Order: sequence, then C-alpha cells, then structure tokens
Amino acid sequence: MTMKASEYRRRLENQLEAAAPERPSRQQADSAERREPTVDDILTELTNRRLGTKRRVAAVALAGPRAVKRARLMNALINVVADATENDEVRKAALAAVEAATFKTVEFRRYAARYTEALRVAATDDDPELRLQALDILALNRDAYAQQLLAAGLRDRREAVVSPLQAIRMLGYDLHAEHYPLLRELVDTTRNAPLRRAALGLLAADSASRPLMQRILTDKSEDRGARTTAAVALQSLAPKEFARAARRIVLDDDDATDVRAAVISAMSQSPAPPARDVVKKVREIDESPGGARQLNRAVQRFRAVQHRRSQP
Amino acid sequence: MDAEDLVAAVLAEPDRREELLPLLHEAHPIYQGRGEVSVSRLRGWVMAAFESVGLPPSALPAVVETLRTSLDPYAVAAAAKAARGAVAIDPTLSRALATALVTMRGRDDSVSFESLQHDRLPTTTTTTLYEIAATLRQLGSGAHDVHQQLVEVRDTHADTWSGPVVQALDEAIEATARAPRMLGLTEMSPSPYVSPLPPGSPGVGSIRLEDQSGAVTTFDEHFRGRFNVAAFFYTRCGNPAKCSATITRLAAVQARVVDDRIGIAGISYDPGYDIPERLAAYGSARGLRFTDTVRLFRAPAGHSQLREHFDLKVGYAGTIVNHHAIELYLIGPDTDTVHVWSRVEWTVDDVLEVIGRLA
Repeated sequence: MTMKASEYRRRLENQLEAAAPERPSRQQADSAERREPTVDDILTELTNRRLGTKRRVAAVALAGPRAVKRARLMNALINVVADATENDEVRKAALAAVEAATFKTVEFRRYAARYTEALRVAATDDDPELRLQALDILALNRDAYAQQLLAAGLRDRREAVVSPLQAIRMLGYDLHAEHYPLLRELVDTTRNAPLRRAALGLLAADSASRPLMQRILTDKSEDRGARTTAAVALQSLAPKEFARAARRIVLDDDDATDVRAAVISAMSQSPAPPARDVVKKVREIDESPGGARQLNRAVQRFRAVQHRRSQP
Repeated sequence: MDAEDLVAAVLAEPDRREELLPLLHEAHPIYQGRGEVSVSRLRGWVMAAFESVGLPPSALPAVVETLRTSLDPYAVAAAAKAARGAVAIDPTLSRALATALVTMRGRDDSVSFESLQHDRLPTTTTTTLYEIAATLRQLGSGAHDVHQQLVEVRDTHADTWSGPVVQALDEAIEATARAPRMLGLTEMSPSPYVSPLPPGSPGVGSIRLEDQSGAVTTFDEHFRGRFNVAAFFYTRCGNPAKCSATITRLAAVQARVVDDRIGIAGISYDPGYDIPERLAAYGSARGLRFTDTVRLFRAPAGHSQLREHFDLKVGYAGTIVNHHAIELYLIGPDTDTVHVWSRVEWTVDDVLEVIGRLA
C-alpha cells in the first residue's frame, strides 16, 4: 500500500514543473540574466497578495530550490501553506515546493516541526486537493493527528475529509491495532467491493481477523476479490488453517477460477508440502486441455516449485 | 475516574502524585484495547504531569526507559517534561536525556500538552528536541556529567536544528558547565533502578510452550534444572531499540556462554502472530543459534498466565501489542525468577556477572 519514494518524487516534480513560470520574453530573459533575483525580490513577489496567481506561483517556483538554505524563504513558504486565507493555487504550489525540499533530509530538519503544523492546518482545508495532499504527506509521516482525522471520517462520513478508499489507503501507511475493529466493521457493513477489499488487505496482519478471513475465503457467495485477499491474509496468519481451506477450494471444480488460481499461487509460496490429493488435482488441471489462462499459469508455477523442491 | 480526570485531580493536589504511578504500567486496564498511538499519548499525558507535581523516584525507570528507547516524539517530549520534576541529581536521567537528544535528532516534531484530546489543533505547541534541551537547561549543574556530550551533540547536529532548539541547547550547555556544588553525592536508596521480583503464578509449570521448530514442551520441562536467561519480545515490534536489540543481545549472551547448563530463551508477547516459522527466521536473523537450551517460544494457550507470572509490562489492543517495556529475567534451576532487568539497560556483562554470582 505504501507509495514508493520514486513515485512520490515524480509526482512532486510534475507539480513543480506545472508551477514553473512560462518561458520569459527575450526582454525579460535579458533582464533576468543581468540580475539573479535576491531573497527579498522573491519574497516581495511571493507574499504580495495583490499580484496575480500566476506571478506568485512563479515566485514560489523560484523560492523552492533555494529555500532549504535560506530560512526566510522556507518560512515564507511554510507560512503560505499554513494560511487558510491565502490563495489555494499559491498554497498548493508552496506545499509542493516545501515537500520537494524535504528530500534534503538533514538540511530540512530545522523546518520539520513547523511544516508539520502547517500540514495539519491544510489537512482540513476547504480545498479538497490541498487537503488530500497535506493528509497524504502527514499520513506517510505517521502523524497521529492525521490518523485520527482519517479514522474519524471512516467512523462518521459527515466528518470525512477524504473518500473512504483514500482514508483506508492512507491509514495503511502506518496501521495501528486501534484501527482493526473499525476495519472489521467496514468489511462487515460496506457493500463497496474495492473498499471492502482494501480494508481486508489491511487486516492481513491482525491475528484476531483469522476467523473473518477463513469465513470469507470459504464462502463461495462472497466477492471473489475479497476471497483472494483473504486467502493471502490467512496464509500469513494461520498457515495450517489456510492449507485446509485451500485444499477444499482446489479440489472443488465448481469454485471460481480466479480464487482457485490465487489459492494455488499462495500454496506455491508455502514451505509446507501440499496434500497428495492437491498435487494430483493440480496435475489434472495442468494436463486437461483449455482452461483459464490465470489458472493455468498458477498451476504451472505450482508444479515448477514442487519439481524444484523434489530435486536433491 | 478516568485517566484524564485523575491527572487533573493530581495536578490540583500534588500530594496525590503517587496515584499516577500505576498508570505507568503498560498492563494497566486503561491501556487495554487502545491502539499504540492512543496509549503513547495517554501515557505521555500522565508522565508530563510529573513536571508540575514532582517526579517520585519509583517513576524514574519508566521516564528513563522512554527517553532511551522511544521513537515517539510525543512520548519523549512528555518524558523530558517529567524529568523536570525530578528532585535528586541522577546521572542515569541526564544520560538518558542526552541519548534522547541524539536519538530524536531527525525526528523532532511539533507536539502540544494543551489537551489530551487530539481532535483539534492546539494553540500552543513545542517540539521534542526543545523539551529535552529545556530540561537539561533546568537540571543545570545536576546534569554536569553530560556537559561534554552536549557540546559534541551541538558540534555534530545543531546546524540542522531550528533556532529555538539550538538556543535552548546552548543555554543547557552553559547551565551544565559547572560541576554541582554538593560533593560526595549519595545514591538514591533504595535505587529505583533495581527491579522487584515478579509475584509468580502457581500453575505456570504446566504451561505449554511451542518453540521455533514447532516442538512443544512445558515451562517446567524446559526451565527446570538450569539457569535460564529469558527475554520477552515479539517479531513485529517496530522499534529497533527494543525487541530486535534484545534478541541480538541474547545472541551475544549465547556467544559468551560456553556452559550449556545456562539456557537462553525468548518468549513472544504476540503468541497468535509469532508462529514457529516467524520465530525461527527472527532469531536466526539476529544471530541466535538454536539448540536444545537456546530456543524462542510462544505460549498460544497460556500467555495470560505467563503475563501474570512475570508481571509483564505489556498492553494489548485485542491480540496486538500496543506498548511494552524491555524485560529480561534470570530464572533459577527451580524455575523461580531470581533476577529481573525491567526497563533498565542491560549488557551481556551485567547478565554474566549476576549468573556468576548466583550460579
């Protein structure tokens, strides 16, 4: 569930690029060549609310790369992020610029606490995009305030600051046991299949969810995606119970192909030897003509692993 | 009375400070069913109150342990505030503060002690590093023993810290420069860092233990007849200074112990999750070489009795550990606990010295 750093960086770079000033005219370029903007120049543009959005966003783009070494610039950018009365576009540009500076981990340390405070303000902003960005960063940083906001929104939709699926994704960055009952309740009550699957995925580390996983995996009337998620979770939580449930599913020709494929794939990863009738059934599936591609692939992988393990 | 009300009552009547002590125990009912974040915040809220009402010596191990091992900005800031309530000069405390300054160097965060609730933004905030530096500044010559360490910390790290933190650290360095006037300091007696023996539980001998290979034995069968060093841990502990370091240190004990009459055991706090495969992988990765006398265990059916027997400082939300102390026990040949290192830093030499003395 965790966003890769490279993915995150790419997203920020795109945002920064989008916030960059348009190509200057020849006259402007000549003028710029003559004089590199000073911190005061940038601050004047950045903080002047009478200027247009485009010009102020351009000032943010100028400030960003310089800010980590110039406290006045960084403080001004953080102030913009924290100021709910500021222009939303300028705030979003400032947020992207400050976040880019956080990659300079050591140099950014001195601003980290103030930046967190600014993000916490932005996390409940009226602008949904700003709110989402701020919450995402806070959640990645395991911020307790953000986690509380996300959980409160899942408990009561009227309190939600992001969509339930986004909230689950963000809670997953740093999941705590206190959220497990909430997630189990979601699995039991929601009809939203992707949301339910996401919640089940997060419960994969909760040993108290073992009966839930077992129930979902063995219930043929359940959502197939949920059963697949439950299979992987149960294998991790209780390998013996998984093996028993998996055996029944593999031997049942009437069960869903994708669930059988997922179960067979999961069994390939298990260090325990599979039951004889499972091995026999897998061979039959492999040797029978036609069949679903997904199932065939899982079966072939399973047999390759078994063959490798049988070698001295 | 809930914890928030109790803290408020003690703040109003500081003589009641001892009433807060049970709330430092991780197994206290107020922490059961709460998540890690919620426990950390509530326990921190309790701890921070000692700044105002005075820190009883028996609370020192919990404060020192938090400063030495916690990575949570709120918990560490709370422990630093609690340390300001200490009445005696305590080198263990000042060393723990200096350690926290380094451990938290890249984790400084905005925290607030305005309210226990976390549902609205506070109007007053501080930061973890600022609280640590402010405490060292207040301890002044009482923290003289770490003065040179603070100078080194400033030279190494301070150029990446915020202005207020650097200023507080500079003031702490100045305040700790002088040695305390009082000479011939006496140690606190009895030392708050000597852990009491746990109460024990009569039926513990028959508890079934499953080891890293899936083999099942009983507590009595495994522990009777030799000295055993036993630590508690769990494989999904996220703090490298706690469980991972404990098992690594057990492996170091194993490397120094040549006598197989001394056994080494790790027992999981998380018996539902720590299946044999996980125990085996976790121990091997930390250098343990499993033998008949060196094993990692879980007690799926008897864990609550083990908790009672050892008075384990661990709390749970359902089956998930939400907070725990660092706990090491020396179990004698008759299976009674003969020495405990609870919340305190233990070294291989400490353990070998006690074994040498008692064996």
